[in-house]
Amino acid sequence: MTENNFRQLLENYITGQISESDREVLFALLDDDTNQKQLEEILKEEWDQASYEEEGNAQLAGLIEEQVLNKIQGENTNVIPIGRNRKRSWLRISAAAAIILIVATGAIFLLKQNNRQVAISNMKDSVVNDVPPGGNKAILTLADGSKIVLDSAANGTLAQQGGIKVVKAGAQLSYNDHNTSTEMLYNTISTPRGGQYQLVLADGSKVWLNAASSLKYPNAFTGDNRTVELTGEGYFEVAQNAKKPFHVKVNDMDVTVLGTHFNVNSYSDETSIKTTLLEGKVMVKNASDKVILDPGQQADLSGSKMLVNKNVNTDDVMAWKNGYFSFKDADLKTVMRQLSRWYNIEVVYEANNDETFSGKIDRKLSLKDLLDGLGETVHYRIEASNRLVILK
Amino acid sequence: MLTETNKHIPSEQEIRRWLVNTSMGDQASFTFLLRCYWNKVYSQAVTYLKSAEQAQELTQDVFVKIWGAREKLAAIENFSDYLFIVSRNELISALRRKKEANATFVDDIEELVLQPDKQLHYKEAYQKIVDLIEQLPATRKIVFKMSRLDGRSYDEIARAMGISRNGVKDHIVKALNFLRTNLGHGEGNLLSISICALLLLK
Repeated sequence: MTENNFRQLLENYITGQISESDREVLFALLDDDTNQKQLEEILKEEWDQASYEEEGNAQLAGLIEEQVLNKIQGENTNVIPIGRNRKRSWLRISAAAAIILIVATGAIFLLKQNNRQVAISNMKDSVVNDVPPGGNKAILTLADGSKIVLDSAANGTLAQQGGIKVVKAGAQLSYNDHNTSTEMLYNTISTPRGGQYQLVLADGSKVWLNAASSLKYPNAFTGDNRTVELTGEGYFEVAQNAKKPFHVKVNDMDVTVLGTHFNVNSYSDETSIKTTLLEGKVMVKNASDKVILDPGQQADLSGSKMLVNKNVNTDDVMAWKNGYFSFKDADLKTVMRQLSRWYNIEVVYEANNDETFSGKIDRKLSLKDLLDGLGETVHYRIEASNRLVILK
Repeated sequence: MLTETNKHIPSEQEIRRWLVNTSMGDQASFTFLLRCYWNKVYSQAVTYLKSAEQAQELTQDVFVKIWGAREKLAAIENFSDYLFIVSRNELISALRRKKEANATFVDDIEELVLQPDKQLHYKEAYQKIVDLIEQLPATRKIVFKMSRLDGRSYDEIARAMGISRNGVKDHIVKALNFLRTNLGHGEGNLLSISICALLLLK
């Protein structure tokens, strides 16, 4: 069967001019490897030239989109169904942590489990036009530039750099430094909006990264100090090592640590960089200032001005790491900034809302459930496909 | 005639961003990719499978597969090439399956002629086909009618219309795809019978 003959048969087939017998011949020919190769070449030609593409049928486009999204959403169980489950997560929070009822001028944010009236929209709405919460996702960039996506990577050893193994276990990454290696290779772990991750550094220090954050760190601490660079927000539990001080750098701010637990919040859309100490002792310094913090204190760096806040509510600062949001007299914009990072959404304000909000709410709720939880003063519309929330 | 209203052509950077975001699990970015490329997959599928329903299923399967292997997307340089490979493999498998399930349409014609109620259904489909042909753009309509109603060869049509032979073929395939996409499931099969046969059954 010559090349031209196969091509001709194929052409007759697609233009609907092939005889019944020729059609059988054509299909029989497809079993042959050379002919299949030829078909593949023809398909590629036509694909690159967009040979038979016309305006897409809009109705068909919608149908296909709906079907595909249905099929892939069947995989996750991120969306929390309305009704009993939702109520249950509020009950859990109220049992586990203090429910804060704060009545400020004109602002009430209540988390009552018994007589909560929440608008229950119809099922279709909550499944189709809602945004699921964030989850454990991050990208690890190794020293050689290669990237590993951490949520979908299988558990186990991800890479080996020098004598050091990078191991993934669930939503945690750890570095096991069993050999004494001499070179320091830098990795970067970054979480997208809607992601969070936890990692254990070579010295045993633990780091929790919030959404839209990154940490640059060496796979082994071989020098006379341990230095990492942070963007966004991270909570650190630093392993004790008096001989090797631990430094967290955020631009030109440096947090020096001897062995301790602290949180650094350095999102660029927040007004200041806040370093909050839970246990131990840290020194926070920048070009012009330095302060030493005791537990419960917070260094607030705005521009080059450093202030110390004493008696900070560390629960609120640490809420994200423990799986919930915590607000105290927060205005709506502050609340939405945090939500937008975790749900990976943009927010449009169509009207002003002077309410302030206080209380705790579960980070694992879907966006709609969470916004409902903010109370009757918040009127919103979610456009899930554009990842947009409009506040009215 | 329904047409796509969203004619935004994305830049390379946008596509790159969608790919990276999708690899990290962002469904919204994936949806943008889907909207941008579904028709490429569908057009080739309907051309070779000759069934709108099968082409639609194939398109869906291809994108579900792309999502399933989304972690690869961050490293992909040319999405069109990658999409082609996934689509081509599905298409060839589907063609093989078609070969197995090949019911000859000759039997269908006889069945239709002999059963009065099916004949009515046949006539309705025929009318629908005629209506759709009228909706084709001017040149394409003429080319298609010359081929199917007048029985002219492609060379003759090319000469008469002053276009290339490839141009004629192009019109025919696009017309067939249009008809298949806009007919219901059942009537699609009837297209495999040339329109001459339909005229005989008036």
